[in-house]
Amino acid sequence: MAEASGPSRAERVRSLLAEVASLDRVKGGVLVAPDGFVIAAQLPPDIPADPFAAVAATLGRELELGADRLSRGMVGTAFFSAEDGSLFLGGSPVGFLAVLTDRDADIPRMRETVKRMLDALQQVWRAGDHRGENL
Amino acid sequence: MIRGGAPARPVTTVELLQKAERARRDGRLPEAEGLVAQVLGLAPRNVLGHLLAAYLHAAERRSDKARAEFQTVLSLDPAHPRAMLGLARVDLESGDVASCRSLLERALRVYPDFPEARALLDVVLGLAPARGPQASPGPELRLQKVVLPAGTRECLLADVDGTILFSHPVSRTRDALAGHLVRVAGIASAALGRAGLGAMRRGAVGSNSGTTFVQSDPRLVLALTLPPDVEAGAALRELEALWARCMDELGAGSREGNG
Repeated sequence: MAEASGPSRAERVRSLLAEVASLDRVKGGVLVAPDGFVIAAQLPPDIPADPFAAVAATLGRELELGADRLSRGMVGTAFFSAEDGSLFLGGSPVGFLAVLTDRDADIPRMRETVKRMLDALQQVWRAGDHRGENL
Repeated sequence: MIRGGAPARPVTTVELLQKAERARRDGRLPEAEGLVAQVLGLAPRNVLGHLLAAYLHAAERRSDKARAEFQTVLSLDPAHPRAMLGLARVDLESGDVASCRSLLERALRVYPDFPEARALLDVVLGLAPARGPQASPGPELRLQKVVLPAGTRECLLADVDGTILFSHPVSRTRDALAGHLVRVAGIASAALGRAGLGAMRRGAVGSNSGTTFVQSDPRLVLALTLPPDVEAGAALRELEALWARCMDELGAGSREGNG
């Protein structure tokens, strides 16, 4: 039975996000659905999850819609950097993964990590969809 | 002969809504949609049913259907803060910044302690008003000294109001691209600012057709689209050099104009 087979989907999502948040140079991250629902968050206490996730989802939707309007195909990962750090963002059918890093993060490596994590999160989150399992 | 115990009690709309909300939170969206449809079949004016329907449409990226459901919620409960926020999001997606702003301000007047609405209002206030269709943008600059990097697919320099200062090639989608890039830079700056990292300076957006590298300041946005497999570090150095050349030439042009 699902309950006996190991950690629940929610636990696995949180554990994957915790794995990202524990990486060198990473401050934290959030997985947010396109409607703004926060699926999981691992952020420093001075960054409240809901408002940050609301802005991250808005950015993710703008990237998706812009690519669609401009016939650019599927959006992959994106990153944006400022004086004191960077934001890495990736989209999937489930929603958007936003990861915050300090200023010295390795950009190509982080983009690859975000891509890999999105694939893993997607697999875990949608795993029970057609079976009606609880998390 | 009587079989079994008491007849099964019919499920109430409250129970169905609780199940639907649990399914939504667990990511079982088709199941949640089925439950919401049952609720609205039993109680067509159920505010929470319409709100959940709106969220589920938004989660599946069906913006038009989400908009209709948020509007239904507001027709039943005109001061519903979550419906105002939801509709504001959909308006922002469709480029209706004025309506988005008005809804967020209304939501915050009724519920001043509403962090998501406050965060989105900050985003909207940070976006410069787009140039109106009647406004004359003036002639585009001819940036004579600007040599584009090898492999450039597209390059665009725009003011934060969307006015294009330079574009290569001159494509029919360049206005839409400029508007999109300005919005992306504005929202990304808001996200970085919310995380205490400062305003956006550089970025990159990957897609199937290429990677667009972006540099911005409070006044201008420069975008350079290169092939998808380009090495990010080298591309960012190219972008920075291009930015410097553009600023040089813009500065020279402005000095000539003033002199």
